[in-house]
Amino acid sequence: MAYEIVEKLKKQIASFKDEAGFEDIGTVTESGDGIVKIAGLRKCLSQELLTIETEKGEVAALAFNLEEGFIGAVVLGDALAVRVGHRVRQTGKIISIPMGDEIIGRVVDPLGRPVDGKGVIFKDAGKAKDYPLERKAPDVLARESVNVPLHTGIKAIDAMIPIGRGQRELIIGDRATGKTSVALDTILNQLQDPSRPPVICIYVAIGQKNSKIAQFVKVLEETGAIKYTIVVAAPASIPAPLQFLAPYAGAAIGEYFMDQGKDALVIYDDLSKHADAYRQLSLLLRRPPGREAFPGDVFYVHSRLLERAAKMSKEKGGGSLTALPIIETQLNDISAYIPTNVISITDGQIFLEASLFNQGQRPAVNVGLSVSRVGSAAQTKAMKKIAGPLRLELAQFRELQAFVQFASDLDETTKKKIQRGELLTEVLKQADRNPLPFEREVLVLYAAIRGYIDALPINRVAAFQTEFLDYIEKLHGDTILKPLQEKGELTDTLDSALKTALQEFLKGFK
Amino acid sequence: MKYPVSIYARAFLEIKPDPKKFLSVVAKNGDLPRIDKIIAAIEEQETHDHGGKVISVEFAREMDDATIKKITKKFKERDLVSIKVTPSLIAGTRITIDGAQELDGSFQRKINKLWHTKS
Repeated sequence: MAYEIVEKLKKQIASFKDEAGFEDIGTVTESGDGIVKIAGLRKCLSQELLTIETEKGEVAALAFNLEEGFIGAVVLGDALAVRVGHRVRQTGKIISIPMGDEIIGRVVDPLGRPVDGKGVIFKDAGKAKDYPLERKAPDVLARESVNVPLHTGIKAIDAMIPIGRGQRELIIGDRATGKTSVALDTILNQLQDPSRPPVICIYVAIGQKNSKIAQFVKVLEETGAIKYTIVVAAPASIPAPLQFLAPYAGAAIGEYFMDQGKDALVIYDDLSKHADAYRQLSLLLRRPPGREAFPGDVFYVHSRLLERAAKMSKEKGGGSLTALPIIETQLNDISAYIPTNVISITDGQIFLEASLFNQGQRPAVNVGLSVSRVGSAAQTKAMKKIAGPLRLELAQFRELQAFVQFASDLDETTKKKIQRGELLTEVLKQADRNPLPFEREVLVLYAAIRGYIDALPINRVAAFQTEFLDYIEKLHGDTILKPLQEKGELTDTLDSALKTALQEFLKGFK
Repeated sequence: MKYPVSIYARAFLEIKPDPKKFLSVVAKNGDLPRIDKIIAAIEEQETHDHGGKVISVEFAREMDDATIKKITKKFKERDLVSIKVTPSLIAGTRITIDGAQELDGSFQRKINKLWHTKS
């Protein structure tokens, strides 16, 4: 072994050629808080990767501000090792992440380095393809309309706020309202949609606690979802520049799979912390602050990121990149600066409300404020047929519920509407980490919306759901469940078969 | 407000004041600790104004006068040449022009390059 190493080294030294020539260099003139000012390097490009020669070795930096007399750069490595007077060199490379299929199932940092202790990602580093973190979003001609559903496994979302592959759907809500749970359930549910091409999931954790990320990864490992998931970890403990780069790394990973004609889903958890990291960076770089001290281009920072989500045309491979950005609001204020920005960029939002969460309505989706602008085009025919009137009924129920707080005498129709609203609300309740395959969602919603369980007491709804699904699976698996899963359509034959099965089941259900 | 050293240098070169007056202004602004940098900036700007270049020649060890003379003769008279000893170079010479370009013939660079060469 030692002999081989010596021989290899000797060969390397013998073949080493070096001729000194003039090279452009820069010098660090200021350093602090992970930001450096560099004099020289007149030909430096924006977003170019630089190397700072320190006593502790080379430290990477990223050119951010190109000004008349100096360059403002952010240090991507050990910022404490950098001192005034250190030499800086250009690499000629724009910041990128090495990509290959081996990255699936790994936890990486925003620069693509493994952080899960499972060793190197690419056995042959030469085969990894560099994907730039910043890439222009696909143009209009390269895209097509969203037409394939991306099921979350959450009844309330798949029925009323459907998401399509290539869509950008915002998940917004206060802290601890179940935003990450919606994202996690969506990842877990991708195992349960065998009739459609599999989805590669990328979870980008920005500014979160290390323990929360570890817990998330553990759930993925326990459920087997890690086999098709990549986690980009940018916890609160890493410098703001790396937190800022994390979502772009996630987008680059997604684009790698999209370019191969595959479907990818990227979750940015969350963009509020991303905006905070960018604000810190910009203030340290002395960029002028604007509203809430965010720099003027914070909208563009998010719009250029989310524009990279797309459904590509068949000519361009037909791949897709779906984006689920998450925004944390303060006291349900969705009209704050960053929430309104991201709401206007995305194709809809799932609004999770703290009061609903505290009332036990989980997932705490506020149907009135949630919307999906393009997803209905991708919704399966069966779900569309069943869930059509659901939103309207729930909206009427919420209105009546508010109204009856002041009235004691209620007419029969109003009473019935309220009872039905309560029943539908109960049906939509779902525990986390328990996503339902879409065909099962259709079955449960069919029974509820078509009025078959109107007489059922609220406390029996959960039992009905479990037993009914069990009954259908055991006795009508081939005649109802399978055709529904394969075709995604509720034909007249299937409708009558389901009706008969449901009536049969209800006879024996107590 | 702290003035950048380049502003001090430009002001000095434009009005060429009595050095005593200049120093008192620097002291009044609390910038005396930066006087070395200010003087260096004045020298650099004056050199550039006369079409010269600021050249720094670094050796790994002390050189004899004859060698230094031989090297400085290679540059034009209007250039500002400074000689430094940088032991971290290990061997050889490094020449830096205007802090933006360098010709590095040091052993340190060769080792670094060899280290980063992919096999």
